[in-house]
Amino acid sequence: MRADDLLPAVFDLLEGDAAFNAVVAQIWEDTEREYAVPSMAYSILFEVPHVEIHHRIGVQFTPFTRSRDDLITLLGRLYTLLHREVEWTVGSPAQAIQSRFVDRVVPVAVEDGVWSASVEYELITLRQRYAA
Amino acid sequence: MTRSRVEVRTEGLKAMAESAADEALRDSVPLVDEVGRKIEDRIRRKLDRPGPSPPGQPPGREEGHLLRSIGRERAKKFRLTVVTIVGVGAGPEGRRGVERAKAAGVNVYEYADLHEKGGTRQGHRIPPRPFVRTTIAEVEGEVTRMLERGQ
Repeated sequence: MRADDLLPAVFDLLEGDAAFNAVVAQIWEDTEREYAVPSMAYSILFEVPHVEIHHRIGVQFTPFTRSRDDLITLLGRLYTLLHREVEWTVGSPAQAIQSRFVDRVVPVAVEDGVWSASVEYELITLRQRYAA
Repeated sequence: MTRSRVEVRTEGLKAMAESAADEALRDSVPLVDEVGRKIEDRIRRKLDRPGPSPPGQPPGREEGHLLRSIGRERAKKFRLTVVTIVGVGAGPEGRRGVERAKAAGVNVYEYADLHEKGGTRQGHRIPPRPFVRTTIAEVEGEVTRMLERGQ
């Protein structure tokens, strides 16, 4: 399952979470532009179909919030929703994935009244031909 | 006699095991060195393209400071591991690249970090253009097979 297919299902999951939705107004693909606050940028760091039947996708999430508390809430929701020790399913039809926290950049005030951090997750799915 | 005592002394076995482990680690130094060289080459190839690059792609070459700062420390045995270090400022070549960039007023560590992880500048987003993490993800399978085969 490629990132183009998987990420919309992950975003639906995030946007369906009341606590997440209360803080973030939009999710956008990370690019050079002025950023809206509050929002969350995402960037696909790598996509490698190289481990047996699995497809590995590295994704970085970078939220921007008005306060440190909002940022901590948001990071907590991301962790709760995405860090799982066992395989789980996402989307409709349900797709089995594994997901794990990989790295983070600590929360900082990037300018007056804007807090940001980055967290990186690895999403591991079955390659398309095995997922059917 | 209500008790007996059986004692197995492991000093000899332990010494033999340590000696065997030490030999195996020494034998693996050239292999780990080869892995380091492979990663270094792959990172260099990623960076040796004209810039600017689109978001998500490795940063393109502009003045070439980042490319020249990529280097490698030769593999060495350190206690029970064999270590090689690859990346910005590693090895003599990397250090020379960092010094040259510094003389030109460029902090190449900051520049590398900004591109690898992304960042913000005066309300603008600079998206990540990863070149280390992508390389590691790409070569991980190949490197694991190399180490398993021992060649």
